[in-house]
Amino acid sequence: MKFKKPPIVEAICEFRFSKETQWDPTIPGSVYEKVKDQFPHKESRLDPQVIMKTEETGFNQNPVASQRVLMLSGDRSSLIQVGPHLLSINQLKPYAGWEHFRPKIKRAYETLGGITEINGIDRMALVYIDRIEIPGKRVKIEDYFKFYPKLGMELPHAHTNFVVGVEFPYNEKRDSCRLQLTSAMATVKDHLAVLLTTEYYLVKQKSVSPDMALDWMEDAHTQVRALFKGCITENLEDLFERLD
Amino acid sequence: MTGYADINSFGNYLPFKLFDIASFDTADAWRITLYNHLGLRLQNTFTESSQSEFIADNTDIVRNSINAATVERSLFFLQYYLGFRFTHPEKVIDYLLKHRGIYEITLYVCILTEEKFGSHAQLSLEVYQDPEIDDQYLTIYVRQKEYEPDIIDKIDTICEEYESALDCEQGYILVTTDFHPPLE
Repeated sequence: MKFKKPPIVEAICEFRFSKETQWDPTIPGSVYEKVKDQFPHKESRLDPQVIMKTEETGFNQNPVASQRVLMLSGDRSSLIQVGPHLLSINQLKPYAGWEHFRPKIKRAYETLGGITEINGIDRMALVYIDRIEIPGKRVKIEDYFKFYPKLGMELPHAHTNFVVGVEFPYNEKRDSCRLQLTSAMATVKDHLAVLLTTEYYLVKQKSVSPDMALDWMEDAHTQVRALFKGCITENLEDLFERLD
Repeated sequence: MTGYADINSFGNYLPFKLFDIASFDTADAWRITLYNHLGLRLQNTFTESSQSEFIADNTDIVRNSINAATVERSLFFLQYYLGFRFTHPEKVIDYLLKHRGIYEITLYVCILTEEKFGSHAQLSLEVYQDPEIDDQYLTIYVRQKEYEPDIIDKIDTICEEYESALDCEQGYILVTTDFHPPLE
């Protein structure tokens, strides 16, 4: 399923490693040295994070700042982010397809694995964010989506924004996929704009061994693709201009 | 402020204390101001728990990642609650995703500008493309029906507030005016 005008605005592949994976502040720099041919721009940012601890009174938070290093491609549309126990690979538009995104994921993951031994994965996820604009003053959303907010007769039909979401379990609840449709800002007057976010993630910590992580990601991609196909109607496929 | 940490996507929120100012570094003073501004802005719109959830969702304190969806939601917030105009929102989103380091600073600058000019100016967030060199940056245009004589001084005070936060960042945001009338 390929489109001339794919709606993907960002694809994200994220790994969060368990504390058994040794980490030190030199790791991002070492990763950069090995990928700088493809990701020449290096930036760092301080991320405020909240460490939460369970105590008798409930959850308690401890804000800390962690350093995250961003390595960006020449046109800044593709990036690798490395932070403490975190690796993220992001692809902005133009998204050229899984066959182009997968090698970047593989390269980043294997590069990191060559620098520090990955001893466990707490969470990993594959996320696709699609931005869709449909022309028309009065768009019937059900003509374009098979997943949408349905308003009963007793409810007002004029609304400003909306959010609908659902989670699907996979592999005996080891994985889950969260599907969310939200209103967005139209770039053209009298268009309906929506964001469709599909996030397939590992629910059970360490249930996939590090050497199977890339296979898991391949499977995640297959499921995300099937869900996307299940969400849209032929009318929307026509808007994207199907190629195959 | 009491907040809620989500343990799954659609429910079962557990309480925790959010934005304990004393525990932030003084170098991040602008960030503290941003969170407090967001809290104040939202207090009449959402219940207290929803405010915290909204702030956490839009400044990524909890989820700790900026992506196309969080940026889009933030622009929606700026448009809906602060009255910002976006002639090309997709360009602003694209710029912020390519310059993630200034995402929170941009929210901060927008709030400062709205506080200073709010009801008596039109505020438009755009990507300025230099016509002569390959350079782009975010620009907030302040436009008024009748321009106040001290508009430049007011803009300067806003710039003084945020410019140091841009040190070491690749992206840039400018507050200015082109002395044009507000757009229809």
